[in-house]
Amino acid sequence: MSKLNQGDDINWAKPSFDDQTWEVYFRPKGKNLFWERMPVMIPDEQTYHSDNVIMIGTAANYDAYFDGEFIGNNTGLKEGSLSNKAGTYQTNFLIPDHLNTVGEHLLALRFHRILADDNFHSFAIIGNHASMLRTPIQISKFMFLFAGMYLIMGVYCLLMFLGNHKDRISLLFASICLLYFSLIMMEYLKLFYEYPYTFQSTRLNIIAYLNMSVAFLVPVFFTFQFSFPRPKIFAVVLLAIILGLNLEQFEIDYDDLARYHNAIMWIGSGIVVGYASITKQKKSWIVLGGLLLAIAIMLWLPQFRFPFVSSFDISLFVSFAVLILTMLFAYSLKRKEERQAYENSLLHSEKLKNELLKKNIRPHFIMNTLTSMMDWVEESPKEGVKFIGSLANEFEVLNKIADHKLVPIGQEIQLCKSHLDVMGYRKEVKYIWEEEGIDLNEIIPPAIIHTAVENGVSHSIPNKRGEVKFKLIFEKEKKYKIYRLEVHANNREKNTGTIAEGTGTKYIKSRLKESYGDAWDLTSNASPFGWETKIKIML
Amino acid sequence: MNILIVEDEGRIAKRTERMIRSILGDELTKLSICDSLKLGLDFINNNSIDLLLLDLNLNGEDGYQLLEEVVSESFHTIVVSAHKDRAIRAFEYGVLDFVGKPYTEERLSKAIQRIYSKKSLQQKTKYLAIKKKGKRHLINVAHIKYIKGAGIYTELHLVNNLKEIHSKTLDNLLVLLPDYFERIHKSYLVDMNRAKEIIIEPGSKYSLLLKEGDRLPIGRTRYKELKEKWF
Repeated sequence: MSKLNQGDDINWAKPSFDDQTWEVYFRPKGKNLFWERMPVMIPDEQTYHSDNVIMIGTAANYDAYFDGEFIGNNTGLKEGSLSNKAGTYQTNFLIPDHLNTVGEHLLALRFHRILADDNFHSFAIIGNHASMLRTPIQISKFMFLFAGMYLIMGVYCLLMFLGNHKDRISLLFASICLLYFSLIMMEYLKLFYEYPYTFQSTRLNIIAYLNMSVAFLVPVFFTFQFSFPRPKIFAVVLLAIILGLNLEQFEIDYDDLARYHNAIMWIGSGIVVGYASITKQKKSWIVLGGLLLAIAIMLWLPQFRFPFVSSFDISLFVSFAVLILTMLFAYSLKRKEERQAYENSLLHSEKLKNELLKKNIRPHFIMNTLTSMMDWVEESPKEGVKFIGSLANEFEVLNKIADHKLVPIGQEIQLCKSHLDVMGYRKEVKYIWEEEGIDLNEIIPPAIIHTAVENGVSHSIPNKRGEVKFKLIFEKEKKYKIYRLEVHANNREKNTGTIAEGTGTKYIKSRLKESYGDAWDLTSNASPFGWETKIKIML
Repeated sequence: MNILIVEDEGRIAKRTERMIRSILGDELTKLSICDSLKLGLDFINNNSIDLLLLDLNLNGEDGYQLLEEVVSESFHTIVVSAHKDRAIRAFEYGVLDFVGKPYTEERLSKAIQRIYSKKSLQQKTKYLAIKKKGKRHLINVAHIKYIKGAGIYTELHLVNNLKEIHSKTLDNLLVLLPDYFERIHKSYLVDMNRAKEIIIEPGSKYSLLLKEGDRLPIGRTRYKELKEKWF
């Protein structure tokens, strides 16, 4: 049992000194000198080494005495020097040959603190020099392997995000990867960087904050990955719980704090992925499996002991690796979905374009037109030539607009007019076109009013004078703009009661969706004057 | 001849009318035009016609509904449509001809002449539509053993020994049915694939025995031709 005492006396270094009155639970006060006497064991014959070293880790400057003999200090100065520069946190000292014997020895430390905070602690480990250097690296190399993996994934996803700022899931995944990278670097910094002991608490704080960020971001990542009700409220509650804990941070042991943060992370992620699995979301059970595996590793690994590194840390980092791989799987799944959605949208646009071009070469249109045209040419060639001109006009406008997702309203009206000309020759009905309030600067998806006009032609019975009037009215308000197409005629009675939505209406809806998402409304119904089609576009 | 044209395009209806007048001349007794499915159906229900010229796409409505209704009627139907891809199905339902748009007077004339000719095109009729208690049923032609004329209508005798009534005359059906349907008697049309043998009875009476056991009379004048062609 290690014992401490305030004050300074070089005799306290001697093994023979009686430290019965010294305290076990001792808190150093201010910058006064104090001593610690620590019994240490050099293990039995089998594990005995001729070149044993003692590693001392503590948050203070000190002179170290082994069995009363000065073996060195962490400031690199002479014995007894009081330096104002913080010494290293973790330092190895060779045990002199004549003291390197099997059995119990005494390590005495004369402490001098230049930074008097509450975070005083000390430990010492004896071991063979070579293995003391090698063993921690042997274990931590896997951690560095993980770190490299996280770094590359993080940078890659960050670049993905920089390429597309809407890609928030990449930013989130990049952040998590880079946080894990930093976490491992900070944790195992101790193995390759002899930092001053004053940095130790800074380092632990940084680790705590990294852990805290990860605990928040991982469950949030899963809410992006899967559909989860009210993800924003979930994120706020999660953050509140994490920050609430953090206020107490300095009262709690760093390892405990990490445990709390981890618990929140696992529970939060479990809720989201569990919900996804219950609602049978795509591949969610694989992600849930990964999550459970990671949790199992975290709970199972600490029972093994690893030399020089904490098995708690190891269990954390191994479970993190499984977690990250699980997330990577989820992330790649999301990417695939997005790519498919993108490809589908391209395909959809292509289909719409096709449909537009097909409009006028559909057999019903072209063959009826040609039949009528034959008749006009046979019966009154002059009119026949005009008819051909009208058809040419319609084709020309259609060709012009086919490649665009949005076209000037002027062109759309031209298309409607030439279509009515053609239909006039075919049906021998007088189609009248009127417009009101049209703003020629407006643009609109191609052939949607044209489609409404086509429907109007099909479903209207002309009046006694053989006329059908089409009137296009445009109104623009603060929040929306509206196109109203009025067909002034009698509506044709349908033979069948209800018929399924026609391909024409489907086309209009698809076009509106392509250009405006869900910010539009289409209504089409009978009205006192005949038929009215309203296309409302939100601004 | 009394003809109805169901066509929603004014110009085309006029053209068809003009051509029919030129083809039939004095034979045409009456010609009417309807420009929608509903008007067409109403007309058929209230008037008697000999020939229907039907467009399959009427103001965006599918003329097949009308087609399926009318093929069970006594009159012949000629489809005049831009949708040539639908010809096969129309023939299966037993239309007289399918005239694709755009068409010439010659083509229309050929279609109308089919009423008078016996077996000019290879027949593809697969179903005969009948009306039973106001509902339409399709009878698979392969299930018909023979057809017996009964005045202005016909009886379809089926393999399951049931009997169905059809509104078309034996003459009209003969034009629509496949080649293996043979007129063996002025009142009988038989699926010759089912014929087993000719039985000669005393008094030079001939009858045809079917595989199913039915025995049908053979017209005296038709015996020789039948024997040469099928036995």
